[in-house]
Amino acid sequence: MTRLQKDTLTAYLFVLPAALLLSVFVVYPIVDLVVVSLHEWNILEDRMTYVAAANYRAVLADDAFRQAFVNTLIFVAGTVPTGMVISLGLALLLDSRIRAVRFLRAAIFTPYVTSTVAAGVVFVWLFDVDQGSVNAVLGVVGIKGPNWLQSEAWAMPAVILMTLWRQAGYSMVLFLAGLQAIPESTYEAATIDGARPGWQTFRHITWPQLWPTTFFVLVVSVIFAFRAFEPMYVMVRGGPVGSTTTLVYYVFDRAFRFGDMGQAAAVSTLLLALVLALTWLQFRFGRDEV
Amino acid sequence: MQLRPTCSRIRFAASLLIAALFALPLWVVLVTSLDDPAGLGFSTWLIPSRLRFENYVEAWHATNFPRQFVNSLVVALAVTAGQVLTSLMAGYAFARIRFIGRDVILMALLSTIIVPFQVLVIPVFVILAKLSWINTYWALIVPSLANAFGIFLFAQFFRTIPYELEEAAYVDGATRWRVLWQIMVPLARPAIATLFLFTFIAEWNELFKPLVFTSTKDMRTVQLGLSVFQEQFRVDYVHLMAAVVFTTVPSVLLFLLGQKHFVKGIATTGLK
Repeated sequence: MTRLQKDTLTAYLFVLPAALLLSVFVVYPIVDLVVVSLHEWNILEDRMTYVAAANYRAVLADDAFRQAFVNTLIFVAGTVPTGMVISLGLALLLDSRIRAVRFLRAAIFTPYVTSTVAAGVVFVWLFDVDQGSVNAVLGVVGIKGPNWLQSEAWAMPAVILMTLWRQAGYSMVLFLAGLQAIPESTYEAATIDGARPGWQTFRHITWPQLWPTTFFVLVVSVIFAFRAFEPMYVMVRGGPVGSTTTLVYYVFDRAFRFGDMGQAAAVSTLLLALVLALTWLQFRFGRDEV
Repeated sequence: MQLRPTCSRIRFAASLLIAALFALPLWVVLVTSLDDPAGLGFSTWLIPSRLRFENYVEAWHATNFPRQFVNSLVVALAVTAGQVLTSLMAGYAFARIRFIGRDVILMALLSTIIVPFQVLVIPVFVILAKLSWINTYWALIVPSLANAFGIFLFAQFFRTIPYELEEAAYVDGATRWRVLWQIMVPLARPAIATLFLFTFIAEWNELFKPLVFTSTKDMRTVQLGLSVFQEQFRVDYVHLMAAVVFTTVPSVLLFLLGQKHFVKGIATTGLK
């Protein structure tokens, strides 16, 4: 055996456990997902019937699916732009040599390591119509707060607020890393050229240099938002009246409450295609230096 | 950036205010968890009026938190250990061994990172059902034992270690396996810490997997238990907040202890 052959054998043995597990629990399931989506199959029966694209046609015609799609878009629109502005602002604020900066960053990041369940339980209480702090604070300034979690109009905003609170620290850390990668000399050169610190420097130096990070955070946030399930489950169980039922929630409901695996798989396949398309965008338009 | 003193002071004040705003819900949770279950009110949510530690004991024994802690600990430790092991081996091979098909295999494995688990829950459920693993530890552990994130992390890390360190060992006739464990693993401690923190906290906080893959009370993990506890105790906010505190302490504590590794891990890989 040559050296290369021997090394190849060794390397395969080293890679085998990971490769085997990922094949069985990621690669094969992708194939199986598509196969299931082409069959009519209720979990209570053992029989699968091939129905071609019928499941796709059925879900696309289903009002609940359309609502889930719209709800998901609302969640994306509600969390992504605001979340990015907040975390970029936080990063700009905390990218300096002020006192206790590490402590302050940690305080903002801590919500991210709390579980969605814990955060959800806390926010359900904060948004409680009578006892909650949110309406109490609104009451102080003379606003009568809505019955957040029982309202079709206000449940989603409540879920969005909880998500923003929990995730701002994560994107902030990504932005901080991006800011710290901009060389100090770029700023010095700009100052010599007469750029005043503040808005001018931000617009002409920081923003363009930070763009790869910004784009990366954008794509990651959109993908995160598209697969949202836990906040809606914990806070309002997808309700009231389906107003917080997202695509993943719809899949969960179809598959594990109604046992309709075929239609659930069809929706999952569509969701997977969406995520892959978004990732392709990242590779196509973002430079992968982050 | 160097700032003028007044500017710096304003910045500090603003940062302090915002950080306080982020920490506020957590503080309110702590205060409430120690309040009197009978007399909770708006007036008490900023300054503790009493310290009733019995709330914790009562919440702990109300459903089955001791059992759920054991379940979560078993699952999180097993998954974490498994991921560290499989990622160390694969990451080392990709970083240090020249072999046929290396780049293709690496790309194939890394591309699994973009597939969210939520969309694969149906086929994975089917596999676990065929293995009769539903409602067992296996269902919660085995599908998570390998992760492209870990492989990427270690491959990146091992590439930064100079070759000379290994070469002496090969001259002495050591195998790859021994070099990995005796030379590379001790050097990789910071990367191991990073992966350990990420994986353990993610597994401890996981709701979706136990929600779908378990069915009986005694298999519930901490997060599923907390979710059920919430259903049963609805407006008993004092005990609910006590439960939030003790279920959250492990992950927050780990984060605070390993803050450096955690932040560095996000910054270098940009992934959860």
